[in-house]
Amino acid sequence: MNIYITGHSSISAIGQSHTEVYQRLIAKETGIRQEAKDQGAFRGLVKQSNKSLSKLYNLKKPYSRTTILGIAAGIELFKKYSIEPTSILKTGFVSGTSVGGIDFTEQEYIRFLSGNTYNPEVFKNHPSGAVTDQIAQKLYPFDIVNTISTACSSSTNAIIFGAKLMQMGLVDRVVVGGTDALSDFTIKGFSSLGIYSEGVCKPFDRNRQGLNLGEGAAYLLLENKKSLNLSENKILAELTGWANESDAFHQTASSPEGEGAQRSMMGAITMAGLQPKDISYISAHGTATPNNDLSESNALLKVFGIVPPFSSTKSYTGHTLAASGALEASFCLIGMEKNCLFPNLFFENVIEETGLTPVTNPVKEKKINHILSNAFGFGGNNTSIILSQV
Amino acid sequence: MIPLYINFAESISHQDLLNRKGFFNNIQPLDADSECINPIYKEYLSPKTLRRLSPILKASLAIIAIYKKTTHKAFDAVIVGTGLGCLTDTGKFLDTIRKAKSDDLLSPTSFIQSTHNTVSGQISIFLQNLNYNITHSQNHLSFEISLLDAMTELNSGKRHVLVGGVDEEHPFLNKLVKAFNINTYPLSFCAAFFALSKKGEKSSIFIKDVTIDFSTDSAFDVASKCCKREGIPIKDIDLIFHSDTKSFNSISHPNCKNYLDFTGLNYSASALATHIAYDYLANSQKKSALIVNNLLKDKGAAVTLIIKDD
Repeated sequence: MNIYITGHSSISAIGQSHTEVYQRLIAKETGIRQEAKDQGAFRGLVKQSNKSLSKLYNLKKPYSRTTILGIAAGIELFKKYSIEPTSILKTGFVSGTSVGGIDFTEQEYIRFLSGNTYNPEVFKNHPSGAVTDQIAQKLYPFDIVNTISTACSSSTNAIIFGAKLMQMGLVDRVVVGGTDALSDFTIKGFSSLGIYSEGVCKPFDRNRQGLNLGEGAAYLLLENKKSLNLSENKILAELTGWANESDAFHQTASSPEGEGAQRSMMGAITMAGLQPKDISYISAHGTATPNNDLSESNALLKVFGIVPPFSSTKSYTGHTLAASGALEASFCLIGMEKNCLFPNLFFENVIEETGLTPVTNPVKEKKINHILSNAFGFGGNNTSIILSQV
Repeated sequence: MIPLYINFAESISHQDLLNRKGFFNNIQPLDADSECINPIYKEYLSPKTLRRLSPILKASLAIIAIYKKTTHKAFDAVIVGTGLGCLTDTGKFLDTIRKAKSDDLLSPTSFIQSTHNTVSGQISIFLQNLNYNITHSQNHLSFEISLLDAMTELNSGKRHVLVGGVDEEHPFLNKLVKAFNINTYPLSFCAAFFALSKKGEKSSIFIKDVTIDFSTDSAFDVASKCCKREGIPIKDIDLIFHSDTKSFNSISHPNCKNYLDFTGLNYSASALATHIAYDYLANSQKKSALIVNNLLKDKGAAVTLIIKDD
């Protein structure tokens, strides 16, 4: 069965509209900024406040920022593409998030712990499933709704699960992706792991220090033939391969040789009926932590031998955690449309052990046939998907 | 639908079911102050492993240790459903944040173990399992979505799939339940795991249908739809296990029970109900059971049909 990608939208530190995102990607303009409010840390924040987004999208109730960002990306998807209400088509929604509404609940919980009065109502926004339900309610009366929570690979796994629902015949079209907002919980959590970059992150650079956190949301529209006949949406790409494999090495660190990543990349390539040499570009996970980039580089060398052009756009957005996979898939679709490979910013020196140089300037191609996109999460969760030109 | 044969089922909860069979006829409703019945964990897990694990991880890994003893069959997929994830570690890390002074280095352990997929991830490490590994978190439907995912995995040629439903108790949940005036069932803990395959190994009991419906509030309608599709009149089902007395008390059926009486209240209660229903079929001449889950009334309903082959 062919799974067509017919729409995508995102919100992140480099903006919201496809035009804005494209222009910043080719202008090599990062969205990561030093935040005076946040002890001078470098973050990839969405520029609009909750207040301005709530006004823009007519949200009457206070929601967690995770929900608000999800609604922003979701509503834009519905505005831009034909997803007309119809009982002829079964429609699904699969969204990934790592921490749900914790940005909204953490302060109330700390008030409770400190013996202060707190508002119990706020906690209805906490569960990951509640975030997804709130977004779903603003978009469409979906036939099936699901939330995936596998940390930083969540939204890529949501793309895969949406495709599986389609293969099973449970949906004809499905909105897939994810959302994550920054919270104190995540900021302090990653700080406890000691993996922050003091400046803007430098994926795949020898002297990389670590990551910058970011926030965002992104959704893709997947349709089968039946849905496409009705919607008449333009086919942007086909989802031809995917794989999710475990590293079974450590709860948070990747194995040195990236065995899980090797198997997820190879699994996706095999499912698509391709050879490694057929891949035109790799959108790497590339968090810029010493561990991830070395492990991913080793895995790339093992799978490809001669590694195709690759880059990590986390140098533009920061690591948007559960949203990152779908966000980067959205960037890949823009790249495919414009026949452009987007660069990896702030790269200077190759990692000695692997000698790999990412794409450092925008590259115009005649045609981008197959893009492999990686997302790796805590729990040794390695996911790869392949987007193919039709 | 792809049949899910149940080759192994175990659970740790407020009911004393671990390593037991044929308990259905003696199972009692939970008391208001019931607690999780923990096994002696050091019989299953090393002291080093136990030291750093939260209750949900201990219970999950102990069940997996039991599985490992009974069979050498590796899982091609590990699928876990959880409504609220690893609450103990999440709460603990927030407390760490609260107590820390601005320049303190925080201990990362509870943060590392707070992500929802810690259970599925730790199972992969414990079993050195390198395959598909996923965590679904769709409120009270997380377990049934996981069953659907198991069907897709078996359909794509995988042979052995692990599906779990896990949710923790947390003292703060009791505060919320009081604040919301929900005093129907005691809050509870659940870790229930099932080894599933497309063909039965020793088992003749299988999940024949999982129907999830987001369009109606009526669990009874969804149950009727499922039965109609499978060609079994609802009155002929041997056991109806539901979570909604209001919807079901008007139907006359000799064996129609609210499973929340036995499982208590948590987002994975239907996973425990599935274990209890499995035991009922495995240790009697009965042939069919229906689990009807609409724990959150306006957030979708799921119906699971379990059948015993002749």
